Amino acid sequence: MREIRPLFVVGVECSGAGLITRLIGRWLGEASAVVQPSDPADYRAFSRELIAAAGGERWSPELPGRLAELAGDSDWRERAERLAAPFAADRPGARLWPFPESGVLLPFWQPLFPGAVRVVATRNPLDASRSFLARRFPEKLARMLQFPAYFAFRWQLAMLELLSPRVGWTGEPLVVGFEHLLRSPVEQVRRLVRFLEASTGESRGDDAVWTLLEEIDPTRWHHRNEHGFFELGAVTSEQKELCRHLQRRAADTAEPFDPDRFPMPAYAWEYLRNFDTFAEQVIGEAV
Amino acid sequence: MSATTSSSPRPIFILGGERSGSSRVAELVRAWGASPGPEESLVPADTASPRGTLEHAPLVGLLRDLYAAAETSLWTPDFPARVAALADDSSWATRAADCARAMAEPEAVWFWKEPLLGFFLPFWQRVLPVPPLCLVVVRNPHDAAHSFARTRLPKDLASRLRTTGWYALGWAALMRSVLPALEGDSGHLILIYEELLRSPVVQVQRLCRALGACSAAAAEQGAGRLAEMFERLDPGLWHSKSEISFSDLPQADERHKDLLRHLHRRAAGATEPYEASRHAAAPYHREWAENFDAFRRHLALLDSETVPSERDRRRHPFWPAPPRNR
Repeated sequence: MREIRPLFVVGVECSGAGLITRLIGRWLGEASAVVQPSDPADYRAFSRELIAAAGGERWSPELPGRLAELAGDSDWRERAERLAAPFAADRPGARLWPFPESGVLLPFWQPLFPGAVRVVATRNPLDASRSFLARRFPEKLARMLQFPAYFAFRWQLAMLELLSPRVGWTGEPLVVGFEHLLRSPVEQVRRLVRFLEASTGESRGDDAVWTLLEEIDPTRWHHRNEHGFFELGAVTSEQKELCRHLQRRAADTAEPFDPDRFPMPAYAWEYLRNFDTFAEQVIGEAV
Repeated sequence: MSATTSSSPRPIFILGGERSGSSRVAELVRAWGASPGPEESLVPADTASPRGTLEHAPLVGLLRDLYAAAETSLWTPDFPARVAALADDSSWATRAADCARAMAEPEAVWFWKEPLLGFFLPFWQRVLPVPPLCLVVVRNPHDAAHSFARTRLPKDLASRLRTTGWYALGWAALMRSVLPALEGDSGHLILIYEELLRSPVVQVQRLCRALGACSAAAAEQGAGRLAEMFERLDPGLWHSKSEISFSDLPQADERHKDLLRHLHRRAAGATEPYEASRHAAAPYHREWAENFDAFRRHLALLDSETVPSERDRRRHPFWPAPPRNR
């Protein structure tokens, strides 16, 4: 498992991870380089079992620690390696893994791929919440509910998980802002390509930049309200500061991530859990 | 427009969140001799409160209408001020006076108990000619939340939800409305539910002393009813009792722990002002509380097994959809 180098594209839902995945897929240039871990249905079933084995609660402050423990268990590790076999199937080198679950399961997978390259997709959480709402919830329910605080918790938790320094991680992740990509595509694609080249040791030449730019369609910038998040009364000052931090990182400012500056508010896990439980009861499937 | 004359006894307000033990205190107050209003006006007992809640149905209706007139969510920080301002409107003042007048004979002591009454305390303080004697009932919010889930949510949901945070946030909001309104009112009493069951003699005597301020005649009469009051305290009904104190709960908000300690100190006799700045609302509380109610409304419509109890059905219209433009 260690001779290959997966590229994890991670981020909270509707934050541009799909677009970044397509960009990196183009840069890799080979369909075989973009792989899913085995069959997606198998992966989902495995994820459910994994969360159950880690205590059964997706939204729990203990989940990352329990997942990391499971990663050290030989049975779980063997199953995970079988599931991730497509990564090692043909040749060494970079492979793209559009990482699902918003990175929630990353503490389990990370020890299997200590050299993984991480690209973190970020977007103004208010805009992302509106896209998420429109995609994920029946209109009647969407009209009835409020989302900014709920989504901000999801987003904050994911960012803490993805950006906090962890023992075993190598290299800093690249933070790519959805708004930055659409506003300054040339500059941002060059930045992404530089990162990919430095991380994988592979170069595709300058033409690759122009190929990647074909993927960016500014007309697909929906739910655009970039400054609204900072005016929201329902989110915490720490969440606003986290958003500013990510914007600076996406603008290529080198700034270390200090999780203590962005503590999760009290009861955040309870709200996430309850919201999802209620929503599942109403729409009949997991959110 | 006065409900009573200035020499009338003080009415009693029993203020406490849902499942906080306020029904138990209402039973004690009734046993002491105060009236909950005409029997036919009381919200009927249900499975969650088999002994009855002693809540006055016309009051529930009036609070519902006041809530709508305040034109803001119960969970906004300015709700107490908005609802207090309605006292300047003579039509509301008249309606409120009529509601109070219907409670009992002019010289009799009466009481209201309703879980949301505390949010409207600033209004009632302005419209009643005699200030209410307030009994603030406090219970470990974790236990009250557990009791709420056990009695007010369908079993399958109750087992999957966690309610401590939701409850504690609502409880803290209630205290933000009640405690500032009681600053300078030396007559109010803070009762700790756990203490009431643990030390009934001491606590019932405290309660009797406080109730004695309502009227001299009632005080004399009530003093002879201690035995009857003790009969109302059955420790066997102490359900949802935590093995762990709220202060030791890792998931609980430090501000809420601080608030609970503050109330315990005051109940033990400390004179300690309420510092609102130490207990500001969490920014996400309103969304959470309103979503929680929206889900409950929605599920009650979708699933026959989640049809609300008779009491909740009565209160159901009390929760209008939140304003969409915020």
